[in-house]
Amino acid sequence: MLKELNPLLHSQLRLAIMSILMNCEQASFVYIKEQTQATAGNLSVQLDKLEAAGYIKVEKSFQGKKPLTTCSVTDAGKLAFEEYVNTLRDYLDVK
Amino acid sequence: MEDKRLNNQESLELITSMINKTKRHLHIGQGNLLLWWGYVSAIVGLLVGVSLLLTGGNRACNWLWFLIWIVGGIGMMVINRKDKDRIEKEPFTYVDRITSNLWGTIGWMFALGTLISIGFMFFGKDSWEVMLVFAFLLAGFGSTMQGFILQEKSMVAGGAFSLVAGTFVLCCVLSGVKLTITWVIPLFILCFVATMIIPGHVLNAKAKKQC
Repeated sequence: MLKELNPLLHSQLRLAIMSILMNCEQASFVYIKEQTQATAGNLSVQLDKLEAAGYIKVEKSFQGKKPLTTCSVTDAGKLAFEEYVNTLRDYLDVK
Repeated sequence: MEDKRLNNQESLELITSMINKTKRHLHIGQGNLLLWWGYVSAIVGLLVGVSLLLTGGNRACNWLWFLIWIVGGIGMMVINRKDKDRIEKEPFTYVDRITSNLWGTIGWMFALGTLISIGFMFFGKDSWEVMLVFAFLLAGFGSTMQGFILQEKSMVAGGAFSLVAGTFVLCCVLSGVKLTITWVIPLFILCFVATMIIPGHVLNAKAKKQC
């Protein structure tokens, strides 16, 4: 029997965020917003959900006088993403 | 992009598309630090060579080598400060982390080697040659490793050349062959052209094309 896909990752924007962060060590809010073309408000909400699940770490700092928000994926996030991709492969019968 | 549910096929396509979008090996100005250290080292090498020739080989001219640390260090701080703006526009990749740690380690090793060599001088041992060997080998090692990480052949080739040159100079020092200004300084300059200047320009050109 096939496993259920992780509902937290099975959403367009959250999956896009996780895919970006899996590919780099750290990315800024501005960069993720540009790549996903999401609105700032929606992106913030989805980042909060991923952070609450322990999948990502959000750090707020300042670069000069400008605020800088950076995100990185946690070990739990990496594991969840890998499981999600493996389950997806099983569903689609991709070897 | 919204918070909508996807079907399985769409999920896979989204993951692939995001990975492709963020996949990059280089960023604009990737070669700037290499170019800076390469040019500073080559110019200071030339300066030391000319000073030694003009003074009839006065060993005190060797203290000019420290200009590499002073000028290079100041320039590196300026370049790094400018590079901080990049954090917002581009992601910090695992390759960035490895590269930064690699050159950081090499910098510390060279600093330690220099300090130990200076320590030897207090006991009357002339260890300028040892510092030269350090420069050849460490720059060569760093360049070769970064070349492998970035899959940049010019860096691997330049680094390998410097490693061979460093090994040769080390053998000369160990077997008592005199290092003369006429060949060791040009070799030093050539090594920094091969390990840093040429790859730095190649990386910048490739990054310009890629970004």
